[in-house]
Amino acid sequence: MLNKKICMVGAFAVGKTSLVKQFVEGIFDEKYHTTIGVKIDKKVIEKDSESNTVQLMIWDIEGVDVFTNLKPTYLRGSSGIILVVDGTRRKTLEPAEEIISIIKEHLGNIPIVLLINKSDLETSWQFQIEDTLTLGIADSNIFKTSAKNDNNVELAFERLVELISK
Amino acid sequence: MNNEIVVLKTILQQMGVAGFRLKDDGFFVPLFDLPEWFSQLYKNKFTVYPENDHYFLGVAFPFIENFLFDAEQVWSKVESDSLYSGLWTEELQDGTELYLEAEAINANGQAVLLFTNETTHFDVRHKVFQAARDLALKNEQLENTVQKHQRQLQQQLEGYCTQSTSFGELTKDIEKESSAVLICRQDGGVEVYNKALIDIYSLTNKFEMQKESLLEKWVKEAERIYPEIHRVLEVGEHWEGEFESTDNLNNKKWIRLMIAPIVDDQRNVVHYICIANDISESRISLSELERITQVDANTKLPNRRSFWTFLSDQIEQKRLVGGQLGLFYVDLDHFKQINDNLGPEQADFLLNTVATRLKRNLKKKDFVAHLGADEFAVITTDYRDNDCLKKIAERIVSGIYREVSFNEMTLNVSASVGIAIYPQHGNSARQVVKSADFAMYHAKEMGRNQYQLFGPNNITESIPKLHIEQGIRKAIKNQEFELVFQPQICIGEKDIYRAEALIRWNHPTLGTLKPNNFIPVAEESGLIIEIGRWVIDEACSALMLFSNNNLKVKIGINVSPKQFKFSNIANDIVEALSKYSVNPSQLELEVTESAFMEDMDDVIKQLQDVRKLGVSISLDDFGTGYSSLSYLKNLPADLLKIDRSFISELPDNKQSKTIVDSLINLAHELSIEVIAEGVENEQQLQYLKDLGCDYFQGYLFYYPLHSERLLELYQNLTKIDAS
Repeated sequence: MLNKKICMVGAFAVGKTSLVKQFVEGIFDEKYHTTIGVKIDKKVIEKDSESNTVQLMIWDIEGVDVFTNLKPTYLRGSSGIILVVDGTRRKTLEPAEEIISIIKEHLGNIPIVLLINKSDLETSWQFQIEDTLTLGIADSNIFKTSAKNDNNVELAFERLVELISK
Repeated sequence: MNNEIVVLKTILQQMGVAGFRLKDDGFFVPLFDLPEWFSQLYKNKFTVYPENDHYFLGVAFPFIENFLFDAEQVWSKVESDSLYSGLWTEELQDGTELYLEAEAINANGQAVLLFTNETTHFDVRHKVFQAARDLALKNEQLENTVQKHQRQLQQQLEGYCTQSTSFGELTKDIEKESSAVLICRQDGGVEVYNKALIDIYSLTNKFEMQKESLLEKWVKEAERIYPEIHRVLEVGEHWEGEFESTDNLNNKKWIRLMIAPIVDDQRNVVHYICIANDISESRISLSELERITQVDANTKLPNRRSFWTFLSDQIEQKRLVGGQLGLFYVDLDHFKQINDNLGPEQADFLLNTVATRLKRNLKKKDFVAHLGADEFAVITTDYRDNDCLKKIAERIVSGIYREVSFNEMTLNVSASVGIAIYPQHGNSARQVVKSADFAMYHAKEMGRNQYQLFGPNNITESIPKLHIEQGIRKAIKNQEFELVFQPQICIGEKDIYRAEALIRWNHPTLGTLKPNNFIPVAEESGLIIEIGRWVIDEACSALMLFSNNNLKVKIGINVSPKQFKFSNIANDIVEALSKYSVNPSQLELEVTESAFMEDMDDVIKQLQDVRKLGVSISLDDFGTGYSSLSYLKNLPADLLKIDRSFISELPDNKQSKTIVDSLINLAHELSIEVIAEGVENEQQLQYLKDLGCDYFQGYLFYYPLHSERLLELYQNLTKIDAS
């Protein structure tokens, strides 16, 4: 079994922890509980053979805001990144751009999957996929997700596993 | 030594810390018995108990595995250093979450890794961040609403501007609009505006509105954070943003502004439509946050409100079930100077450092609060007797008393601590706090950087400020002040006697008051100028008395920094010297480091003027404030007076020894003589003599004496010398 570290990054309150909770435990909590520091969860992605099976170490990293910057040391040893933005908050795109540049600086061309979260509120979205062009992420690696409705969550994680297993 | 190690281990254990040492073979071994929470957590990761006490910390904790890369850097350094990992979460088997932080320490070459369980304080920290982020989300929503409204309004106004040639109807339409509207020409000339604009900028009439181009003002204000604004507007593009603006009454406000240029057929800008909203309230207010969370936003400690709630609850509980509690009132020494001179950012940094030091030196169960400014409080219910409280106070004082490094300077920070006990020193929360405050004040009186347990004497030494201020005004007129003189001793031969003049206030009802009881109030109220003049006059009068008795005496007088700022000290001295026909070389000014903080060049110039008269200058309380060594060479000083706080710790305290040693050497290199104040025992004297200290002052020799008594003493000494 392969062990792979992946990091959940993004602005505060975009739903990183909810996405992990949905993916790992299949649970969603409506209430917003802000994360402080780091929480590491594990999830095994079964494959056709034991040798292809991957155990993800998911680092849920505190969101970026005026008080908190992303610590590059937390990214060390990552095989892939899940960058999350909130479709209902255009402002979450700005930190996403900064985060991308930190990732590029410290990890080079590592696989990144972009999750535009809160697709259950898509009618209130403040931006569209086209607005994320500046982040330089291929369309095939961008997912509209909802931790609440479990929309595309597993698909997005599996896409990252696919990218890091290549 | 072994005993000290045992004590240290016990403290770390009580603090719930798991400590490891990295051995040469790459294994971590515990430094002392591991706390239960750690053993449980480790067992959760490895079912087998570690053999030979070898712990696989990197394997057990992926977070630590990552942190070890950074820790290695610290451990490989030559000098001692440390690094924090940041907070991370672990789960026990029953699902309980633990919030942990690791610290890699290079302790004189030993690689140490400490695990601290922050779970107890996590709630408080979490509450702050949760509240801050909830507020930020709400603010974002509000700003979005404003933005949407501004855009709709802009479209309406644009439509109007392109279709109409006059603004007659529009003026009426926008009058009641909640957003401020200004339509102006390219040169800023006002065409249309509404009441909301007048309100936001506190303008009283149209004339005020027109005398300055608001557009120009906005652009200037916005370009601090949006340097592109000029370019955007010049090319006739639409601009929007948020920035800090100042209204007509000089109040700061956060403004969300949208500027839309209206262009003609040739793409020339003919109007600007400006829409502004005051969004100050939607910005996160720190005070608001503190109110909601009951946590100090800077230090993240419980704030004053939270402290009162906790103390009252605890006292209520003790009242019902019995028991006692100890309250420590902690006040930083000289904080006002730091705040005034270094600025609020550095002051916040200092408070944060102190908060960390406080927490580190106390048990998890102890309640630590930041009451505001330089005041902290600690409540403990977990102690056996008063000796335990004293030990805790010692830990607080010595834990804080270390250097704090800023960008360009190093500062010695110290605190005075007052201890009061419920129910012994008060039956209510208010009374216990009052008692602790009295005791703290007493600790300040005793020379700072120490603790005092509340005692009945504390009360008489703390007098209401207003009472003092009113009294000072009468005191000079009623001749209630007097000078006493403490001799300064020279080991060896000198042809002149020396003494420091100290002011006392013979208060009609309160008895004799020492300077600490009234000088701070006098400084605050400005009365110090008058007192300062009186001291100069009185000292010269005493010098005349000594001269008339054929005694060569030099008297040092204390000068307040305010005297340099608000009076002409050289003139005051010249007048007094001439009035009493005193030789200027018999007078010395004692100036504290703080005098140089506000306008160093001006104070130096004034001191040079004084020195030209023949009066010598002594630097008082040296070493307590800023790291002054770098500018010592620039100061016009003849004598350097080492603060009593260093002397009191001689010869046992290594840090004080190093400071005193360095100060004496440096001063002598610069041909400045040195005096040690607060010399109270033979060991201190011997140590200072060995270092070549020039003068000594303290109770070991003489208490302060009245001028007649001093005259008598010098006359007797002269007789002895002669015989």
